[in-house]
Amino acid sequence: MISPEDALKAAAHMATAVPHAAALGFELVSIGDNRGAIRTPWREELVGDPATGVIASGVVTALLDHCCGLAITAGKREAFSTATLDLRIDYMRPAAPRMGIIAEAHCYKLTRSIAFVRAQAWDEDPTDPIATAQAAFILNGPAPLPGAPT
Amino acid sequence: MSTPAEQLKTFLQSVPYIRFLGMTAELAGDEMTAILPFAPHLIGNTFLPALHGGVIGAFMEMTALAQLSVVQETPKVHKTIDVTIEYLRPGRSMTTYARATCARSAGASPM
Repeated sequence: MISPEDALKAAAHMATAVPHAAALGFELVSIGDNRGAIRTPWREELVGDPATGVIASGVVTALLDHCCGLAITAGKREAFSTATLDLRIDYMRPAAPRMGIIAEAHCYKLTRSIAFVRAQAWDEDPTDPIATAQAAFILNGPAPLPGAPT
Repeated sequence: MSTPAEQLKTFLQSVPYIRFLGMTAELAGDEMTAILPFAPHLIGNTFLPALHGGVIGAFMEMTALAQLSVVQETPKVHKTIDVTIEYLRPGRSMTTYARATCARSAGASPM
């Protein structure tokens, strides 16, 4: 059992140091109270529509998914891994051209094995979201299927 | 009027994020297969190791957009309204493939 402070530190590290998070340039905005927020800065190579310079929706997907993971970790007092079970994303509008994106997630229900999370992403104004997400995660990683190679 | 193969090629080459992922696609007749070679920057879990869940979701969504570029000729990149992804197991550190079907497309005949 590690201290809540160390658990938060480990969660903050996970938010930015996981290889794909680092590749997307994720920056920790806030963490705590079953919530987490992450920002990803705009970069030319993350553009999804070259005509407008708007960041790809796939980046928003990865950001929302990762941010949900952070919110779950923020509600636990020990280090553990999560895996996404399902993720639904609704895109309200494209992000503003050449703008970074912030996402905030709230883990509103945590059972022994499952976490339920809501998240939203915005560029300038949190009350005018780009996308919202609803997700479920399994805690401690998925159990291997019977007969599956290990 | 360009061929579906040319439309697919144009789509794949024009989107910077697709190059960032390292995604390619092959077209055999009217069946497209998207290919995502494993790369270290796609990892979400370093212990397994496994692909980031967001990478799998983004790859599938890009596959759907690529399939649309095959079905429908348009100068613009299509915009996603919603996606729902159900994860069955971790994505291992190997090449991943995806296919999409277009059930209904306004302005073009469905495949």
